[in-house]
Amino acid sequence: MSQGFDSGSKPELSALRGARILATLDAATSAAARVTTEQRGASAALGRQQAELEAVQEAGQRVGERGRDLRNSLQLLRDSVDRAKLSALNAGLEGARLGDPVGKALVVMGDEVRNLLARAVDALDEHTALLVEVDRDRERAHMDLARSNDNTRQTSSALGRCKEQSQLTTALLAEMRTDLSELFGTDVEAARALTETAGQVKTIANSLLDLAQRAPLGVRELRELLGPLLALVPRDEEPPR
Amino acid sequence: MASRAGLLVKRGGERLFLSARLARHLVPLPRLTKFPWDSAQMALVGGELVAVVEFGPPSGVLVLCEHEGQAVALSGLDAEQVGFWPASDAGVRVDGVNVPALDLGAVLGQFKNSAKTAKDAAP
Repeated sequence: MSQGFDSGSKPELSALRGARILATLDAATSAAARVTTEQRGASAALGRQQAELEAVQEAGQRVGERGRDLRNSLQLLRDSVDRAKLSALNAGLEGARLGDPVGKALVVMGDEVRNLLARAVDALDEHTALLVEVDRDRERAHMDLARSNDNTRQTSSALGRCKEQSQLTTALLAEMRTDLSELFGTDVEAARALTETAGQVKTIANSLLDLAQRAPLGVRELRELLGPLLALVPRDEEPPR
Repeated sequence: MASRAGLLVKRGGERLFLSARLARHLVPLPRLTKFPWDSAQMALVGGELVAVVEFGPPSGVLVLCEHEGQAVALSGLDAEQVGFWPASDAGVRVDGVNVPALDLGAVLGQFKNSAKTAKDAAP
């Protein structure tokens, strides 16, 4: 059964652990920067959406104004048709005064015109009712759009606040990184190289130990030989079994 | 059977016949002016002041009539149709239904009486 090496306890943070923390910090900083970029994109998209919503709202208002114009036109038409109906009745009355058969044609013609005008009045009433419905739907859509616009505005300001927080996070991470770099007195690249080297040393030491178990050299002597080398390996690294 | 020429009007749900001899013209309802202490109303029609007899709520039309050489206007009537219809005892028959003729003389008599009463009651 083979026995692994323990690098022994250290009272302070090792440079390797510090390097790992710095690497994690760098990853967090990159992630925060990506978040900021995404937020910028989302903010621009929201701005465009808000502008489009406002344009649709304005178009809705214009439709409403045209609807009012149409209603006024329909009312004018209705008044004209009512007047024309009176004229048809008056023409019929003239015919009725002339008597049958002289005035009969005038009465019949007046009646025919009055019937046609009655149909026109029905159609006008139908158009007016439809216009009222369209206006009601337009009003509803306008209110929905206004609500959507409010929501977009709120989302936009929330996104703005997120952006500020994200920028603050990035700044704090950078500050933390500077402080930790000063604390550990190393930079990330050097620490990474050191981690790799320590791993290789550990592999070599374990191979030598394995060899020693097969060779006449005692384990204790070998541990004494390799002790200074294994001290470089971080304490929390799991020893080989 | 003799036919009568005239105008069919509606007062509320009731149909009435107005002879073509009485009914002269239909005009859009002008502004009516009410005299104080009197139920009489006046309207300016074609530059002339005409007494208006009210038959009901405004219908948008004023029926101008001529009674004993005097112009009288009727308000609150809906003009329906002009034509020739078979005469009946009280008016005409329209689609098999008796439609009574509007007795303008009686209406004006009532109007005059009510106007006189109102005048007497005035301070």
